[in-house]
Amino acid sequence: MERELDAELESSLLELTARHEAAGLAPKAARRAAQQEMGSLPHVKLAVRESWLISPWDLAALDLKQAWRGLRATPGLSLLAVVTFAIGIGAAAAILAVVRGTLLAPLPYHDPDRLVLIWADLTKAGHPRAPLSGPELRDLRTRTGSFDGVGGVWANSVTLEEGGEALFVRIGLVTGDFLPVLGVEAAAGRLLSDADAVVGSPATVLLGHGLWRRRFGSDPRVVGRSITVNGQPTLVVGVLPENFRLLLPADAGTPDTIEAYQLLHPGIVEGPRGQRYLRVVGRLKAGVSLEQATADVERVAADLTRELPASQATAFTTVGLARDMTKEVRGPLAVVSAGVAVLLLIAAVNVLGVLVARAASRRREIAVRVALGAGFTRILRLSVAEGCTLAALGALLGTGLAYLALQTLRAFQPDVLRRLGSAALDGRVLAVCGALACAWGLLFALAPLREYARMELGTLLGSARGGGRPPRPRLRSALVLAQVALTLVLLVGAGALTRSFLGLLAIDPGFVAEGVLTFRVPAAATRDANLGARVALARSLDEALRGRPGVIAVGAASHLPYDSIPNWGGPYTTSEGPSDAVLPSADYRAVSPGFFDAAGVTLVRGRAFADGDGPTGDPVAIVDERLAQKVWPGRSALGERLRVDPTSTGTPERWVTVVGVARHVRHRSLVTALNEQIYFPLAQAPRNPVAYLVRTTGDPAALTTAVREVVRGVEPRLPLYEVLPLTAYLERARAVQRFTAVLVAAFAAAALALASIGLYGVVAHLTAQRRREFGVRLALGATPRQIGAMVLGEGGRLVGLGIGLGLIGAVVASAVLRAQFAVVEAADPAIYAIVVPTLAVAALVACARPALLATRADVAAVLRVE
Amino acid sequence: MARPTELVRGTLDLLVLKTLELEPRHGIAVAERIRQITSGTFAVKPGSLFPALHRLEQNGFVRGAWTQSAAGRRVKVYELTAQGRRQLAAERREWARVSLAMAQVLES
Repeated sequence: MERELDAELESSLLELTARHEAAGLAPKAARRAAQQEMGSLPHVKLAVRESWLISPWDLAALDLKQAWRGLRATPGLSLLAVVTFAIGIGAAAAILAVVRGTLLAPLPYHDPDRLVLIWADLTKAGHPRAPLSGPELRDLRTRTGSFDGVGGVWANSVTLEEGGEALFVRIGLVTGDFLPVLGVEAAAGRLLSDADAVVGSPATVLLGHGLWRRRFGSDPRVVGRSITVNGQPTLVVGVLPENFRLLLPADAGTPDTIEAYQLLHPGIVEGPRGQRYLRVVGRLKAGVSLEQATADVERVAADLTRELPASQATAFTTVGLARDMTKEVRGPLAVVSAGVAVLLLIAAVNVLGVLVARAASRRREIAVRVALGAGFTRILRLSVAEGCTLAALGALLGTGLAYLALQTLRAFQPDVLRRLGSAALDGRVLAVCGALACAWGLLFALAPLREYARMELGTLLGSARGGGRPPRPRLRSALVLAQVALTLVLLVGAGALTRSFLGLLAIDPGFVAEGVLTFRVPAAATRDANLGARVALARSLDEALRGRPGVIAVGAASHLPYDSIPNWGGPYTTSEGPSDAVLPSADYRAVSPGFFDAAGVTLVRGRAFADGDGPTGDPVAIVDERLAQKVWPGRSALGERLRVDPTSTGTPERWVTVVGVARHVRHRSLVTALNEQIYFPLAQAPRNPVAYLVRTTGDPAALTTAVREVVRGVEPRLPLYEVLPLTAYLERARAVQRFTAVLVAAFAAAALALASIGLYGVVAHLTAQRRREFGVRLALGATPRQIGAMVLGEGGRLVGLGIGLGLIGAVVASAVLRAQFAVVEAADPAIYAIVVPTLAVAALVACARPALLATRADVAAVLRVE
Repeated sequence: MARPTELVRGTLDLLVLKTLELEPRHGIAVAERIRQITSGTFAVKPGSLFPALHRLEQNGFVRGAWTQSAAGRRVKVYELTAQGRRQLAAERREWARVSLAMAQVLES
């Protein structure tokens, strides 16, 4: 470039010389004249070089530098804008990450949208979604044409012996086609197959990836090896891939922690029709829709109803698996997303307001620029540069805030969100936020332009000092109105959600969770231990635990409240002979004598189980007060007899005598009505594994090591696991509500802060503009207090209008919230009574300072400006 | 001959573009033509001309190429591009607007 320039200048010099010569000058004189005209060559070169610097990139750099300087010129406002926007974007990014991680994350199955869940509809017995039995699975397989495959799973647990160590493992018992239906393939070895169930073949097991890695050191040679499961030599046929986890909806009662799979014998399809335990998943055939499959299944149900006695036939419910998984969280997440959207809106409106104010106050600077020759495009470019810089800074800060927010959120995430996926600031989330930031950046750039465009050349140069009455900021006032209204809506929403969560806290679950440590053990150390051995083990454990200092009560049970293992229930009746009618069903629980004390469940009548209620004693049971009231209203249930089915044969064949009546326990839901409960003595209805409850005087967690020692002391081969305080289980029931309430409350608080700042900004601006007017009023005899009151009054008018609008919005929002959350009560006046004054006070505080400043308006100084 | 007047920045670009409208010229020829047409009112110094030409070239409004002049010398000749023509039209409109406004003020 340099050499070319030199050549060009040289040639120009020659040209000039030639022209001068043509005009009649002598060659030397011509050259001298030419040189004079060209001027100092280095000078010219410098000028050209300077012009080179203005390349598009340099232009942009220059713009950015000027934008940065411009922002630094009003540091307070700029910081405000950046922080406000960052809060909005940060919140939006965090929630977006959560939503994307949970609602949109794909399930670890092949083509999960083609999978459906099929439940038995036993609403009449109190179970709208009940598992199926073997024969029902067979009927679905053979009588429908909509599925490529239908398989079932049941959750249980086994003891795995490896390297001398006993390991408790949750196991999924599956039909041969279950894993293929899900579309899973073995990462090593093969899947289970019905051929494994042939008489004479060894038992088989399929290991999950996590178990394989943790306990078998990822050793590929484990495939084909024989390991001990429940005391039996079992062949490891394969290992599942790393990303596979069996995830079914929370109410399916399948724990997320299933680590291995064993085969259900194909013969189960001939089992009792009433023995329901299978969670059934089907894969839709290509081209078949969910509606078609549902109709198909309903047809089979109708056929069965015709062919079978009423007590045995059921209706079926078919739902899409993917949709079902998220149904619990969709509502809350929608509410939270709405909250975030409102917050983002408030933040953006705030920033807009700030920018418009800034533009108004920079009129003079712009006027100077225009006078110096900057065209409109230049001003536009500057504005865009400023807007984008603001947005970029805000977005960066916001991303940092989002990251922090996500870390905090993870700490509190309810289980159900965690199991669905994880929230992370991945590429897509960042991209969306980037797009949001860009869009808002442009908007921010354009907002002040309205101010600039209004400026006329003459006015600018003439009275740049603010002469003439500037137009009242109607736009800004409207923005603040909107902010106040939106903030009110958010506050009311937060209030309602908080109230519903507090309501949940107030519900008495029927047991006392505080101060209890729980753990699980298999019922016996060896597989072939008979009932007598189990009872003896239970008694030894009981005594040993009771002997520890600080232990008040010890109990054992088949299930813990809010457990993740499958529910156990069955029919009950007082009638003698077999009945065709559908029998009512109750939740069954098997407990030790100490259970009621340990769990804090009150016995309202009769007694708890005793040592005498053993395998050889009379079959007894304890019922809950609901059942007692229902079956024997008005009289004592003690001594009455009930026919039940504790061994899950499908028909109630055992008669038990009621020896006690217990308070009803909300052990599966704090909110929805539950079935009645029937308790059996563990000694008479043995279950495996068994959960222990140890009530202590101090902190239950402190007992953990002691408990391990005790168990090891009594039976060293017994693996101990899931040592958790009982409160951990109860928390699960409230987790989603708590999560939502806390989040929306956080948004509301942020919104309140932002709206107050916005209001302050507008009122301060208005007041500053009207200084002259105040001066005049003061001179005409008004007192400073009157001026202050006037400002406050105007601010108050804005707030009042905003609150009015907000109330309308809040009523609409509450209606929507109620549709999502059953617990939220109808418009509770208490919420409004708290929220409205809070907002009003915050707003008035915001107006206070400008009002105060207004009272201090110095008459003389103001008039002098004129 | 009228006194040479200071050129307001920005109008030089317009003058150069207009001068190149009908035919390509080299730098000195452009300055010469402007001086000729305005009867000496606008005397463009090389110190202003060359930066202007290079700036216009960088923005894509003119294109420079080395050729042989009529006298056999190597000269860099500038030609108006299509984009340059559009720019010329735009700047003419702008100039018309500004001069109308000035006239309005001065007549009032």
